[in-house]
Amino acid sequence: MTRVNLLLAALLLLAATLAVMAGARGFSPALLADWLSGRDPAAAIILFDIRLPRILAAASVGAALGLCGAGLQALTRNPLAEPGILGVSAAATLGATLTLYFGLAAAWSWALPLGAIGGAGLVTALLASAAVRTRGMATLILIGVGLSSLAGAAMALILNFAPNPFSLSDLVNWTLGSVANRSLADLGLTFPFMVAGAAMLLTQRRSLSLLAIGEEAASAHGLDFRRAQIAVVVGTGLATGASVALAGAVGFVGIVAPHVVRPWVGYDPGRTLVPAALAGAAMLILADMLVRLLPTDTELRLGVVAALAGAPIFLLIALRRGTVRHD
Amino acid sequence: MTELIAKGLTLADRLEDAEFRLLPGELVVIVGPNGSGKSTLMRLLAGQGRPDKGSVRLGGHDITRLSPIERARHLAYLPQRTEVAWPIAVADMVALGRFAFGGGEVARGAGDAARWLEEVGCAPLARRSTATLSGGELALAALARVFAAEAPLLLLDEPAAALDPRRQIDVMTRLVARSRAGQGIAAVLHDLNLAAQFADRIVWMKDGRIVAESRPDPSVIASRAADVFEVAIHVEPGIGGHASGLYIKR
Repeated sequence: MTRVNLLLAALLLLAATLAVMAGARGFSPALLADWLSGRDPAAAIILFDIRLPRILAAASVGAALGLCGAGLQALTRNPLAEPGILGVSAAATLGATLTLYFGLAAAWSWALPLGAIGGAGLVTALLASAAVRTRGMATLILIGVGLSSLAGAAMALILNFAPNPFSLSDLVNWTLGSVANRSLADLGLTFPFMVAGAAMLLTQRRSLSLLAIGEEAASAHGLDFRRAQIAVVVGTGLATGASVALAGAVGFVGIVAPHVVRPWVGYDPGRTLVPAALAGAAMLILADMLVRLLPTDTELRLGVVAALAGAPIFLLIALRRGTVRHD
Repeated sequence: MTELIAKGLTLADRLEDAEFRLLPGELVVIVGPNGSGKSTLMRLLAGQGRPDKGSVRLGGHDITRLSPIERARHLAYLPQRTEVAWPIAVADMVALGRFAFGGGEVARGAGDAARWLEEVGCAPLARRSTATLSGGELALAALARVFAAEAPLLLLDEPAAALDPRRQIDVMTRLVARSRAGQGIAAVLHDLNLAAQFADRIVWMKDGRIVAESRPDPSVIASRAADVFEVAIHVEPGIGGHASGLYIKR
């Protein structure tokens, strides 16, 4: 399994290197040479102040979403699960748009990420308290769908009452998802939450493998289901909330990344976690590179590209899976 | 010495005042009509869910207070339905039975899986995907997983229901051998024939109650079956107090 991880890590590094060289005027390996030789002082600024934070943001968001998707799919034993189904993404988006709507985000730069993490944290706490009391995933998913709809409705309300077209476009743009103009400070604020969430998910690796045989059989073999459920839900809440805080709503990575790597790890749900994170990171770096390379008048949003590329991949996997399963 | 003792187990509408004992070295078979509470009894015995009244003690400890790992090291339970959510390899599925002994054991278990698969006659399936197995093969792989747990006590809910006649006899023979080697095994069976031929002790259930416990004595089986299943059966006496076979008369 380490071989798969090494391969994906190499792929991730390659994607990051390509992305560092990619700019508005196409690929420029010369920029790297300029920086190395110290000939052009602007090279360092472009590489480290503009491109690197953006690449790191795309990578950490992709990794968090891939990992959360893999964890939730394993926990629910449902290949369609993704961070969105528990309502965490929607709540984080709502929290962030609230700070935009009330002008807090403009007044204080940390208001938006904190709003997103706060929204995600609230829903996560609700879900975790439900998880303590219920056995089985169905109730939890239904609660998530309910919370998701509620957050969606509140979002619609905010858009409805947007004071002027400018703030409306601000709100909409933010919900499309992007890692443009993110600073290392933005990253520094959200990164600890992602790491904490990822760590919680990773402690459940073995439990998630065992859960493949169903809740009752897994519990009979020694799984503490409730603990696993809470760890995965809280871990997902933290990591997803932080990634929404950093980049807005970016869909499909959470579903697609686990599916892409699953055949390479023998479909073991626990062993899918790390490769899914690496694949998710590489996917978002490449998607963001595409965003920067494509010459468009208005800025193309990462969330849009991720969905446009992710949805067909997802369909392809679903169709292939269908034929494999029934022969 | 690990033993499982249930007293006064009651669960609303499904089980009433059940007394049950499982000791090392014996093979107990539980029989009864559909819906008579066999699976409910097994689930509660395995510490899955809490009874309304009564208690299950495993080696002297209340089973609902044991940690899942501690419980799993002493007691392995095969649920009636086998489910596998992902198309993992059969050997990997069997290795999951080592969970209670740590991650290294699960990883090593994938290599050792052949041993337990061999025991259920499925060694050639080790590298196959669980998604491609037949119902009976999947049931045998799940039984191998429970064997892999190497717990002193086994609770098996219908381990033979999906199997062909040859495999049924093989599995029951393995269970007898394991009980002779010291494991305590309780199995729910629907086939009275197998119960009569292999059990040390038969527990008869009806309408959520344990109505009788008997030795596998031909005359006792005939009268109990008439009582519990409302069918007339003919039992062929065999050697050693066991029946050699039986058939149900119309």
